[in-house]
Formats: sequence, structure tokens, C-alpha cells
Amino acid sequence: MSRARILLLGALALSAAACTSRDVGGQAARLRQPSAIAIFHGYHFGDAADLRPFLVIANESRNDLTLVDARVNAGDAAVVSAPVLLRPLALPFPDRPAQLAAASLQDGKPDVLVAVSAGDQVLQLVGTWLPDFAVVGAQDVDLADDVLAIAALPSAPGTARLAVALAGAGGDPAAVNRLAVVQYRRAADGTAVEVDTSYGTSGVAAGGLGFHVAGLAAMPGDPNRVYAATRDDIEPGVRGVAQIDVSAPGAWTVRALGARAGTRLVAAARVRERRVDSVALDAAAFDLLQPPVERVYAVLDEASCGLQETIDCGVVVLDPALDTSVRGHSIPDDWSGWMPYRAPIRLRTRALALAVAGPTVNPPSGAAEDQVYQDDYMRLATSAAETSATTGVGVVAGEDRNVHFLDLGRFKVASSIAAPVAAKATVGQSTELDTRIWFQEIGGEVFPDDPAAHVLLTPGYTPDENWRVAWQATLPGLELRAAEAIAIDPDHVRLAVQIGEGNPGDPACTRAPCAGRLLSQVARLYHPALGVVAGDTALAEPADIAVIRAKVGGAELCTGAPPLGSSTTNPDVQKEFEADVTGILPPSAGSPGGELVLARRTLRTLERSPDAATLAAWSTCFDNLAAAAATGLEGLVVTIRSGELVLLGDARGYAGRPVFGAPYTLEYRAAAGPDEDALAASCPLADWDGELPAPPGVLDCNGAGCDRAVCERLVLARKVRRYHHLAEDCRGDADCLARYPTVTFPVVNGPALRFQVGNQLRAADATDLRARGLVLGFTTTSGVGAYFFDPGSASAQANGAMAFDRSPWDAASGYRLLVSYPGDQVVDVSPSLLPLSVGVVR
Amino acid sequence: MRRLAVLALALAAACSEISEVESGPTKTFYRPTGIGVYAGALLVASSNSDLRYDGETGGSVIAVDASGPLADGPVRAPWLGGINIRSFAGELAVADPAVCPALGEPLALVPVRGSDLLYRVRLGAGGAPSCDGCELSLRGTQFTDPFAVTVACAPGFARAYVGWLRSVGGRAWLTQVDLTQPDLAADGAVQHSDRAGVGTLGAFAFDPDRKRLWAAKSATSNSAILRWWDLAGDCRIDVDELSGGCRGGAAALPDGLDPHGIALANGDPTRMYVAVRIFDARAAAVSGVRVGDVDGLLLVVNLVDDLAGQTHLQIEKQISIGYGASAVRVLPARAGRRDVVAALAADDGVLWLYDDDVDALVAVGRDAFGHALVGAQPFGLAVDPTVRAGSVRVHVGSWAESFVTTYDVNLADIDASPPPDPDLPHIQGGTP
Repeated sequence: MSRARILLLGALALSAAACTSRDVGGQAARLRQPSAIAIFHGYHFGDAADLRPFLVIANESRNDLTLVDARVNAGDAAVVSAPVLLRPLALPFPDRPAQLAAASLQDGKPDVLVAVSAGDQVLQLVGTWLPDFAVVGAQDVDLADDVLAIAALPSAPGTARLAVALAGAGGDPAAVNRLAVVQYRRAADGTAVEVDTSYGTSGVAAGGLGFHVAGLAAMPGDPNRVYAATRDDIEPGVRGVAQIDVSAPGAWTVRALGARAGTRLVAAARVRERRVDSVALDAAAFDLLQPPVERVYAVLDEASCGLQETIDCGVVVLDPALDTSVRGHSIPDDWSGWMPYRAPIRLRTRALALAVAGPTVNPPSGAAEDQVYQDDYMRLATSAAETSATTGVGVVAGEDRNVHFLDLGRFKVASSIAAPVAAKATVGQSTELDTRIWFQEIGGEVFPDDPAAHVLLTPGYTPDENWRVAWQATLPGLELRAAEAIAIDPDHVRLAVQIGEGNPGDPACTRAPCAGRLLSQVARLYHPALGVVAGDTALAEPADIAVIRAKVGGAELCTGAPPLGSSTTNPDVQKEFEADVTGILPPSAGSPGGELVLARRTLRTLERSPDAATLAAWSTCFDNLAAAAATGLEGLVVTIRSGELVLLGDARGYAGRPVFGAPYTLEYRAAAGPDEDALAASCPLADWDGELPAPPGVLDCNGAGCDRAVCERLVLARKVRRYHHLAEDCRGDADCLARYPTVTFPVVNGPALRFQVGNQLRAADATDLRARGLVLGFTTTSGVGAYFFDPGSASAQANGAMAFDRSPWDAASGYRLLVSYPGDQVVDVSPSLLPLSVGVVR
Repeated sequence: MRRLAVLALALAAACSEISEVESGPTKTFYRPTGIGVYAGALLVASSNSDLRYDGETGGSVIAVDASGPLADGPVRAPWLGGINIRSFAGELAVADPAVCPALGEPLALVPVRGSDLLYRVRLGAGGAPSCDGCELSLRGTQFTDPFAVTVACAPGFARAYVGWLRSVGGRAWLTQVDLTQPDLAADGAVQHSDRAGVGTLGAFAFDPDRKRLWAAKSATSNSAILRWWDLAGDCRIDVDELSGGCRGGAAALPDGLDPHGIALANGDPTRMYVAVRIFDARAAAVSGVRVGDVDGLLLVVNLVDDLAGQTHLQIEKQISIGYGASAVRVLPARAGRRDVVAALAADDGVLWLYDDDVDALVAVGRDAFGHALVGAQPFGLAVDPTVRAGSVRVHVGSWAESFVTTYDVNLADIDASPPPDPDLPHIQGGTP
């Protein structure tokens, strides 16, 4: 301990001794950068007859801990006051307190409460039984490495255990990020708490993990297992949550609960999960005859989850009873049977903190209808006007500043089906065109008056999304990009979308694209997720189109023509020309994202333009391009457009290729079709994460050759996985059933989107020709109305969340979800009540 | 523009009225704002920002030998040289031919506010500064007050980039100076761009593998970004990118985070360390102005290319570092391990060291009486790239106390570094 710290401790101890009081209430807490929260039971200023729960808040910038009476809802009245009027009681704590943890010794006496300074290695015990709550320096536990996370473990009565993730010194993987378990016990005086030196070595047992711990959690009632979130592989090729058996001190055994991605926040609970066939909002959804199940909840690491990964992002549910070594993961089965795992609970924000709450010990009131909300069930608000009964509630503090509620019994966000899953046409193209893309009756040629009724959707799969069906639309991410070209022959040019810089040091590298060059902004054109399609005349498949600016840098490659579909008369408009994409080449050293093979532009079926003159101009441009690119040409500006129709989503990007007059289905899978894992086994290329250079084996699908049609199916399937876990139940509702004619209830599976479009003539003299600019925009809504709490101002960057059952002291308050924010506030909210019960400590 | 001119005149008038005629000291630091290290020499740009000395010559660039043992507490290091510059110096960036072969000689670059100069101070073999016509006027009509500066080096490529604090319309102006160009009047030798939009560019980092310049653009109301330019192909920053100008992009930070310092990991340009200040974005959006900060974070972010080749930001870790998050520097590389990072919380007066390999954290904070161990209002953070006996020396300037604190970091295990205490060396200048 440094001299400064000793001095500071002394000064602070004096300060604490001077600030004790028995007064409660009347002052704001005056928090300063709360960094952690915990709830402990302690004697009220040493009064052994007054054991009560306190909320303790670490004030990082003021070096103290604020105490709040946890028996009442947070607010000024709950603050424990100091005798001076200047401020409420705060326990001095040195060097920026950053972490807190409390654990019960289960003997009806004061709990263990430890705090840790930022970057410190020492657990400092707070005297929860002392009149001044002072730190008990004699019980410091120096763990030799920085404390990263703490979780309280159940233990035998009279003892309390804390699992502590440690940083380690680096180098030896086994020494990095150790896990320590520290045991405390009731002291011989029957009141104090002390380190239990009979456990491990002087009360501490520690062992290496070999992976970085991002978060820790314990299962209620289970003294032997700790769950660790980690972004790293826990076992070779397995990421998820590590289950660490700590039953033998220091001899930890680690088992991976595969989650198909890394994790960064974790919580655990025992819950009952709803019946597969029930979407009831009340207790009827659950079977009390079935025992509760253990569940581990983890926020997936956004670096390894998403629409192009093996699992969507969100909160994944893990079942410790499922053997990852057998199944490949420990995610429960999909209740609907279509997916090879249960889809994660989808969040609309990046989670910053996660906690779970179980049912309260007391019902919220003596009313008969409230008696169900204890022991097994808890009430959860699902909207401003509705509640449900569930068996576990999660809280997620989001980057969007809001507090989100999870219905763990139904493994979904707290929500009501307030609006039907629906589609709505929103955008038409320019009125200058005499035709328009419009929905048709599926399988027919009629353009109905109510087009949305002819868009088939599936509750649970149809996402909230803005869609466009467009003719020759720009493919996502490929608009006005820098590109390089090199001629293959006078009729073909290779094009790479990338910025390159020559390598004069390599005499062999005299033309672009070539190896050993400085590259940036490389488009992975070979990746099926970008959706570029090469034309195949044998199969009558239309080629995608490369639109190239006629000027390269300051020089003019050719005269070119105004952009197709442009009605501008501005002579200064950038001229361009078009070429067909007739091939897609795999990545090479010089073009690590792959290349497109371009040829002269050809007319598509029923394409309204270009006219002959424009086509001739483009042909001349292509000749010039091939000539100029004979030894490589940098500085091109290129846009890649679909050859014909394409479906695009704002969030999902490329979503496939509808055609006029034929049904188009965007679906996770067909009823008898392969699921995403089966498709992925056939297309390792789709799992190329864009790393450059691409890993060997990926590009040729491990030597088997990649079927790009299979790859596209996989890419699209991943974009429309199950979006939500509770569907509408239309049974007995004819109108509702009519909305979803192709699906059955209550176990609902079906396409995210199925529709047909045609080119509707809008004038008597119009002809069925397709023009650049034809677009039909529409939105789909999932029907999920997520319910959350907006704490208002100063709620940025939450740094802690926890749950607390206040019902023993105030039954009406129910369970509480507490979230700390560095903006000097702790929110205390309960969705067990409507309107929400909210308190704020500031 | 008229308002800027009036401000400049007022500033000049005010300066002439209250300043002394005495030049600033060239052996003692005074209101340091920028520091750097070259060949073991600590280079300190003093700002004379309260105009205690002459406005024309009140500032200084002083070199002292800070590579050897230093006594505890207030100390003077062997003086290597010093020159006067104009007052209101900003940051200091070192251009070292050892890592920047395109340069003919080592330079210390110091932008100066008010006069809108960039000093290209030549450094002798030991680091002694000299300036014979090294002032380069960057004055323009749309911007004033240069402050942030960095040096970008790649094979055959050496440029300085300067960020401006004020401009017409609040635009985020960037100036590029070609350090290999002997004739700075030549076309393209000095280029200015406001294509970053509204805000200020307050910190830079350079990725030589892609010739990509990163800049932290501060939040004006509720959104902030990390802006980047790809400088390959001898493109120009002052030309529209569709006309052959340098292409770039932006990676957005979450609402309410304002970046003040950035640094790229050693050997891994996809990993960046970002010091951000947290502010109330909602209040800012309503009022249109920033309403105080509530905390600071050191973010560990991954810079991930999407399949289209555009770079996005993924936050991997966020570490609370307190008020006034500002400069970030990466310590020398460690074989097979992620970096150690130094970050400054200027308002709290805390120097943080973070080991990205094992998540260890060390705070060089305050003493028992609340005094910052690195001095009040720390301004400027520099890392000596030389590893001596397993330690790396980190320097922190104190604007308010006019000294530079040095702290030796155990590179293998930051927790094994000497305990921070009030006896850290505080270099006040060179030996008389």
C-alpha cells in the first residue's frame, strides 16, 4: 500500500467517524459518477436489532460509497442522512471505488460487502455490522491481480463466497484471467465477518482459465458452478459461456456452453418456460407440474453475431444440461422446430448491463387476483396498459439509454402484440414514368386495390424493415466506389472495387491489380452476401451492370452518356457508361476481394433504354476502357446495379431477386428444405467474414467447389431467421386467420415475405417496358411492441444493473430493477406495476 | 468571417496591451501544451497562454534529456536546447526519420494559435531545437487557431496534419503539409479540407498499411464520429472524392460520446483506443450545445471492414477513466501480446495505464490531499519509444503547474510498475 493511500485511508476514516447519524431521509444522495451498485443487509448504524437492506452506490469520482435504504422505493426519502446538512452519509473509500459485491451468510445477520478500487487487486471488506460501516482493513484480501468481475456464490450457512475474475500478468495463457473464490465466515463474536482461513489458502482458492472473462454470474442455489461470459474460444472452435466447476478449491474444471458466438454479459436463473403451444399472457402459459429449468442468459458479442454470422445478435438462452460436445451448442431447441437452435432474444440496442429477477416472496397486494404473483409467477408490464404473468424477468440497460425488460419465461422482450404483422406500400417511383412496379395477386396478373393484402407474412419471422423492389437498383455498398481495372482482352476487363497504390519496388508489379500493393476499401465482390450476379447467357440469366464514370481522375475516358433514367439537361452532369458483369473471379493477391469480369453492355428483355446511340457510345467507352486498362487503370468510379429486379432492405441489404409476374418468397427455409446449418455445411464461403486474405479452403468450399445458388440461399436464410418468439394466435379469429392464410397456429412457421410484383401500365399508350427508376417501397412490421422504460436525461452509458425483491418490506413495490449511470443517478424501476413504479437516486 | 477577423484583432490588441516585452524562458517550461520525445530528449512546447511573457516570443520549444535517472519531486533535467516561438502553442508532434524515412531531418511540429503558424522545428542529433525560418503560415480565410497535429509516415510519404479549433460555420478543417516538399508554395504542398463536416478535428492516428488517416471529430450536439481518409495514390484532400480526391468515410460513435484522443494498436490497424467524454446527448440535442460531461471512457474498439469494404466501429471494451478524457498513447509493442495504453483524464488529473492483453489497469491519480500526482490540468502526453530495462517512460505535462511528470511503466506487467506517489519526478525544465 502506498504512503499516499495510507494517509488517505486515515483521513477518510476520521471523516467517516464524524459523519454517522441515525437520521433517515430528507436529502438527495448527490451521487458522483456511480460506477457500481449492490444491495446488502447490515445493521442500521450497528443496531443489532435493526437489520435492514441497504442499496450501496460506489461514487467513483468522490471516493466514497453512498447508502440508501433499500426497503423503500428510491428517492430522496430513501437516502441515509449524515448529521451535517451538507450531504448524505457516504462511506469513504479510496482510489475510485469501481466494483461492489455482497453475499449473504444465510444466518440472519449482516452480509459480506466488498468493494474494489479501480484497477486494484484487493477486496476490501466493508463493516456491515459496524456503526460507521467502515472498511475493515484487517480483512483485506489481496488477489495479486486486478479484479475484473465479481459474482456472489451460494454457500453453506455461516459462510459466504465470492467468485472473482482476475486479470493475470499475461504471457502464460493459463495464468491469464484466473478465477479466484474467496470465502468469508461469521466471526467468533457472532457478529463480525472475516475471511474464512479454513478455505483454500488463507480463504482464497484460485486457478487459471486461459481465456478472458467479460462477465460472471452464478446460478441461484448452486454453490458449485460459476458462469463466465467470454469472447474467446473456451474450447477449440467453441465460443459461448464457460461453466466453471468450483467445487474443488483451485482445481477448476471448465465446460463450454456453446452459444455459436462469443459473449460479453451473463446472468443465470431458474425459470419455468412457456408451453410450446401456448401464447397465453397469463399463468396458463406455464405448466407448474414441470420443474423449473436452469437457464443461462448471455449477451452475444457483436463481433461474432449478426445477419451474416452463425447466430443473430441479442440475448442467447443457454441450457447447462445440454452437451455442447454432442450438439455443437447448448442452446435449447427452437420451439417451432424450424431452426437448429432457439433464436436469441432480439434487442434493439447494444446491451451495457444485464440482470435477472425471480418471483417475489410476497404478492403485490392482498387482492385475490394478485395472489398468483409470488413464488412461481411475477407480473410484468408488456405495454402501458397490459401486464402478463411470467416466471422470470430480465433487465437490459441499453446504449440507447433505455431500460429494456425481458420476459424470461417466454424468452422474449416484454411486449404485447399491439399491431398485426403487416406490410404497407410506401414509395412509388417517379411520376414521369408511365408504368409502375406494383403488387400482383400471387399467381395471377391482377393488380389489386389493396396490395398489402397480397403480401404474405408470418408472425415471428417477418421483421420490422423497410423494403424496396427496384429495377436495376444500386447494390448496397457498391455505389460510386473507387475501382481498378485491367483488360483481359479487347472484349473483357477485370474490375476490382478497391483503392490501390502501385508498388514501384516490385518490378513485376507494373500494372494494377497486382500483388504486393497498398490496398484499401476492398469490396469482397466474391462474397455471396454482396449479391453481385454474373450473367449467364446459357441460362438466360441477366447480368448485373457496372456503371462507370467516363472521367477517370481528370482525364476523360470517353464521351459517355448521361446517367440512364436521368432527365437532366445539365451539360455538366457526370457522363458515364455501362458494362455487363459476365463473371465473378475469386480473390487473388492483387484483388483480395475478388473481381468482376466486364463485357460490353447488352440489352435486357423488355428494357426500355438505352437507345441505340447510347449503346453505341457505351461500346466505344468499353473499347477505350479495355485499351486504357491494358496495363492497369486506377481511379475509376463505379456503381454496381442489379441486372433486373432486386429486393433490398434497409437493415438487411441484399434480399434476393424477384422477377416480374412470378411469386417471390423470402424465407428462412422451406418446410422440407435444409436449415441454415445444412446450407452452411455446403457453403463455407458464406462464413468468410471478409478477412483479407480469405482463409484457404473458404473460397473453393474446402475443395468441393461452391454452389453459389446454395450460398445465396444461406445468405438470405440468415437475414430472415426467427425474429420473435411469440406469434399471434389466430385460432378462433377468422379475420386474423385470413391475414396469414399459409400458416398454422399456434406453432407458426412460414416465409418472412412472399409477394408478386408486376409492371403496371398507368397510361393507355404505355407499353410493358422496364425503365431505370422503377421502384416499389414497402414496410413490414413485426407486430412486436417492445415495452421499455426511458429514464430521461443523464441516462447515458449505464454501467451496472441488478435486481432486488422489495416485497418483504413493501409488498406493493414488488421486484425492483436497478440501473446505475455515470451521470450521477441510479434508476429503481419495477415493471410489476402499471404505471411503472420508478424511483431515482441522484 | 468578419467575426473571426474582429476576434483576431481583439486578441492581438489585448495581447499587446498586457504582455511583457520579455521573451519566454528557454530553459524553464511555462504553461506547456505539447510534449514529445525524440531520441530520449523530452521536447516541450510551452504556450505562454496567459501572456506573462511577450506575445511574439513568449512561447518556447525546449529539449531536455529525460532518458536517464531523475530525482524525485521538482527536478531539472539536462538541458539540450531551447528556442522561442510565438505564444499560444498547441500540441507537439515529432517527425523522426528513423520511423519516417522520407524525411531528411528530424522535426518537431508545433501549431500556434492566433498567428496560425506551424513551426517545423529542426532537431539536432541530441534533440536540440532550432528554427531558421521554420515558421509556415497556414492562415486561411475560413479557419483559425490550429491546435492538434500529427505526423503521418509511410514509404516515400511524410506529411503533417493539423486540426483547427475555430472556423466559419463551425466546419472541421484539416490541413495537410507535405513534409517532403521543399517548396511549400508548390501546388498541393499545403492543402486544406473541410469535408469532415461540422465540428473540430481534435486528435489523429495514422495507419501506414492503408495510408489511412484517422481523426476524432468532436460532437457538436449529439453525434460524434471517427473520420478517415485513404491517402493512397497521391490523392488530394482538397478535391472532391468523385473527382479524384482522397476517399474517406466515417465510423459513428454512440450518441453522447465525444472522442478526444485516439491511437491505433501496434501492428494492428484494426484495433483502436479511443478516449471519449460522456455527455447528455438528449440535453445537447434539445439545446444545440454540449451541457457538461458526466464521465470519461477509454474505449477499445475494433475497426471492422464490412463486405463492401467500408469500415465500421465495434466497441469491445469500455473502461471508466473519469472526467476530461483526452489524450491516448500506445506504449511500445510487446511480442505476442496486446498493447499497454496510456490515457489521460485531464479534469480529474489522472493518468491511466491499461493493459489490453489482460485488462489490468493502473491509475496515477491523486495524493492524500487531493492533488493530482501528474500535476493540475494535465495537457500533453508522450511516450518514450525506447524500452529501458523492461520499462517505458511516460511523460505528462501539467499546464497549470508548468512541469512534466515522468512515470516509468513496467511493460510486461503494469501492476509491477512503481507505486504512483507524490514523489514522482516533476521536470520543470533544463539545468540552468
